[in-house]
Amino acid sequence: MSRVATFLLGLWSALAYGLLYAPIAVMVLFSFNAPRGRFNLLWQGFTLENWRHPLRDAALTQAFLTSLALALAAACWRCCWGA
Amino acid sequence: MRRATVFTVHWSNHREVLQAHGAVLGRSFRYALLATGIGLVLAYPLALVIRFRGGRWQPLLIGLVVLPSLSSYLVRAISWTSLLGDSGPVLALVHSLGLSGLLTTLGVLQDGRLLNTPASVILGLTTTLLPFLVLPLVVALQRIDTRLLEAAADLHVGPLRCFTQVVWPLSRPGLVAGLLLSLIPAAGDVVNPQFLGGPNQRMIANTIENLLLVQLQAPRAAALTLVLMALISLAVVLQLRGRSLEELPLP
Repeated sequence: MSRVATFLLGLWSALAYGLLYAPIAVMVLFSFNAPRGRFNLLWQGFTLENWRHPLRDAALTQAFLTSLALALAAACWRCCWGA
Repeated sequence: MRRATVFTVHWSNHREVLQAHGAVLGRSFRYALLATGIGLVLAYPLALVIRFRGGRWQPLLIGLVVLPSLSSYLVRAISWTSLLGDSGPVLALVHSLGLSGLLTTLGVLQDGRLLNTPASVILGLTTTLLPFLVLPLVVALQRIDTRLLEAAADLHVGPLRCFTQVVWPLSRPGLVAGLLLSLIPAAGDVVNPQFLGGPNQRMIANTIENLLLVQLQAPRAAALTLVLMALISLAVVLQLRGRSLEELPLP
């Protein structure tokens, strides 16, 4: 394959990876947003506040632990029975 | 008064839902086909790069394709609404590049909006199903014996003919498996049309949800589900006709 073809293939793959990771990047970016009001849809200012106490919300922490426990149980089940 | 569940057989439900929701059904399959087509155009070169140019980075590149699927696809759809919204970065980029006229004639932009258009729903579907297209293709391409490519080079075959006569025919099982794995979930997707589409971009799963949970018409919802299952089964049978499941590189 020629250099040009390799370059174009690489560019096209970068586009595909870009489409896959664009929403993830938004998600990461908006975790540093300081929203006024209840919605976190517009960029309003940088803050680390959301990351200072990640386990402060008791209900969210409980849901997270339930998810972990269920995932662990499902993984063990799959390891033993494979279905 | 005691209420009992009485079952009486009505085939009329099926005829009615087909008449009432045939347009939505057609739209669902149209969106799913378009998303799969665009996905294939993105996925095939990516699979080629991973297989033939990946080198020692191959496992990492495959992992990077799968990694976004580990996050919730609900969250990813909501992230897309942020990106595609009226004051979002994608629309600003389109305007600054002067592409808005072209995209309006192509039907991507509608009334100057990207969100709540068919294009945004199809974009959301494409990105969710991209890994399911890439993985079977990579597996199918891995199965190609490199000696065949060397033999083609020995016979002074150019890269284009090498692709059309060696790589493409041998990658077709991967294409079939990818189509199967992406068309079925795309046709029944709920989240992407709900967040990225407006009322005119609802797909069949949204209609079923609405019938069951809002209009409380369980028999019609069931009939519509059965019609959808029958159509998908028909599509699967047509795709798999004359092939055995073993030859498909299903991951």
